[in-house]
Amino acid sequence: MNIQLDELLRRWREGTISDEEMRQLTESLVTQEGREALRNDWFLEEVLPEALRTSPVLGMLSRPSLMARWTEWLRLKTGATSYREEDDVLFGLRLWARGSLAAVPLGMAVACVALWLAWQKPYADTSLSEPSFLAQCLLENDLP
Amino acid sequence: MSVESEAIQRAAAEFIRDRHRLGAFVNGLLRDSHAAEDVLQEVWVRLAAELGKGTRLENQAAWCRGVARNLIRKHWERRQTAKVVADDTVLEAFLERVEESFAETDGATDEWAARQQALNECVAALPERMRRMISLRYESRASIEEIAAAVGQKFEAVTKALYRVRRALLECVERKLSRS
Repeated sequence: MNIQLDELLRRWREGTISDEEMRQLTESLVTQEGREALRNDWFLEEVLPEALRTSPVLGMLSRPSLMARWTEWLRLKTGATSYREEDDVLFGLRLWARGSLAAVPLGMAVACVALWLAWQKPYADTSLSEPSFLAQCLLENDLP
Repeated sequence: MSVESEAIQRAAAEFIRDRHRLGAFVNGLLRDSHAAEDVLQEVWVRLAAELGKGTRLENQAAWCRGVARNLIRKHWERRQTAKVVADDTVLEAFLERVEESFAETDGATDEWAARQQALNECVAALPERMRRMISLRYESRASIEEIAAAVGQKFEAVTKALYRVRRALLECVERKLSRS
């Protein structure tokens, strides 16, 4: 950057430029560097207000005061209890979720046993009722 | 839709796209945002009237700058103190060179848009203290004395700080543009 050109542009902006400096500034616009410097300088003047309105603040924030840091420390300390309370609730939810998942294989096992028993029962009943059924058939049909 | 109204719609779109470049030209010469706003509005009114008559413009941006130049001259005539320098020939030569400088970028609206985007990113990354200072200068239009009082610094310190922020922002924009 050309310091002298910057200074001339600043003086033009602020309205403090003399006739002689004005001649120098006009002469500097013969060069490509001078013309670019002028365009960039005026571009900044034109666009900066809008950029300030629309750009989010991402810059480094200044360090907070001692009192602000102390208050924040206290807030965090008291906040820790509520965090733990919240954590307990979350832990309970996690346990419930795990319990529910554990119940799936258990439920399946119970269902299998129940099915097996239900499947076994008719055979058991058949085996028990078979003599009486035969006896009834013999009686009804007068078979020897 | 008539041919004239179609032409006016196209011209309006181009005028909006190119508003910062024309704004920089007018605001840079006038150094008064309110007067610059009045000139820009008048340029638009005259452009719409010209297109309404059925005139075809080869280079709308150059035409607008020409009209703006005449309006700026009239503004300077009305307010002698506003033009700063006493020598009219020097001022006229300066106007001519400024016009040439801006004419070089005719048709480079994308470059100006990229420059604006880069500036937005650079402004977003400014430290809070610097941002506050330039915000007071460019948004609130506060004087250097008022900024010095607001931030608790001396006049010279604020002047230097503002100069450094401007330079830093311009360098940041150039860096970003050269990378892309």
